[in-house]
Amino acid sequence: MHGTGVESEIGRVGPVAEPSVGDFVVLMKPRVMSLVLLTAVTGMVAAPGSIHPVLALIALLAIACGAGASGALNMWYDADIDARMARTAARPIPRGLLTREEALSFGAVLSVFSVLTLGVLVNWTAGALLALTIAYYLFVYTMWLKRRTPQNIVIGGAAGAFPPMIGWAAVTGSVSIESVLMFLIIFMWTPPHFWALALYRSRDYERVGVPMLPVVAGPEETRRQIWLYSIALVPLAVLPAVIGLAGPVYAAVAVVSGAAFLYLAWRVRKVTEGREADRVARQLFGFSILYLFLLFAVMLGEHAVARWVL
Amino acid sequence: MTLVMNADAEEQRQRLKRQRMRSLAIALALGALVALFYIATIVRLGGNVVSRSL
Repeated sequence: MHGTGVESEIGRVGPVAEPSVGDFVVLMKPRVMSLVLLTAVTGMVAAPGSIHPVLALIALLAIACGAGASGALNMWYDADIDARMARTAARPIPRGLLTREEALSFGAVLSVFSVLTLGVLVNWTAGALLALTIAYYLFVYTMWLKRRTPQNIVIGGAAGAFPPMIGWAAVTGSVSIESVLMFLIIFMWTPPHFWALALYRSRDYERVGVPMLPVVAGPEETRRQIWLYSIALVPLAVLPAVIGLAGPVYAAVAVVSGAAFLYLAWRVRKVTEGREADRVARQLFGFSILYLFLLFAVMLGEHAVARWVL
Repeated sequence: MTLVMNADAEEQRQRLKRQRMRSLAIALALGALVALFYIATIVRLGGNVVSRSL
């Protein structure tokens, strides 16, 4: 797909307007970054031990910059298909606000500095995990899997699952079963989250030749896979309460919101025709974001209360 | 002919402006990084600077 007419246009036309700081912020995918930050903070606060607040802030800044760098590098590489998809056409490169070269140099410099900062100032386990996350997102997901296999977001989803592990490692200097569990929750959450989006955006993906599951295997199989991953995800999300990583409030929220998740996934499986099918897929996509946010926010809240109030 | 020259001049002006902005951004980022490393070093050293044996 590289080397299409659109791509060569993007490369040659160059900027049509002055770039602003805001364009660079958009390049860093701030909405994704906010979820990355929440999960990383949760990993830090849930981890046993302590870290100086200033070093904690530096760690979070480095993780945020690393996530932003991944976003910028993704937009650099995918500028050709972004220009032809409704969801991504308004990004700074397709709009001509930034050149691909600017995105590449911004992402590369930010990657190097975020990893070095985390490694030197906090610890090298966290630094290495951040480097792995950025490399995984760019090389494994964006460059290798995204345009080749419908399993792209299943395997590539690991990149988004690393932040709580990085947060945990920033405090403890190690990886543990608890941080692996947080990783697994996000890992299992990613397929139903993205496939719900892909269901009602499948024409976009089809047009640009990205083999998302609905394009390759059809909507019916996608709905089945969403259901199967949801069944695996919901009990997994309750596990932190079972192993003592989270408390009773988390358990209640995980059970109730998990039931709602399963209900919506079931609706997606059953409602297969017309606008209503798109509507339930959108509902699941929207709710999946709230679900992950709730799980990590409540886990964070419980640990924060236990640590600083009780 | 004049139009082409004007377009070239405008393109040159835009390029220089972007270059200046980029240089400024790099300078600011490097300054922030130096400050960050300085603060982190002070935090890491903590009271050890004062309590070292003479």
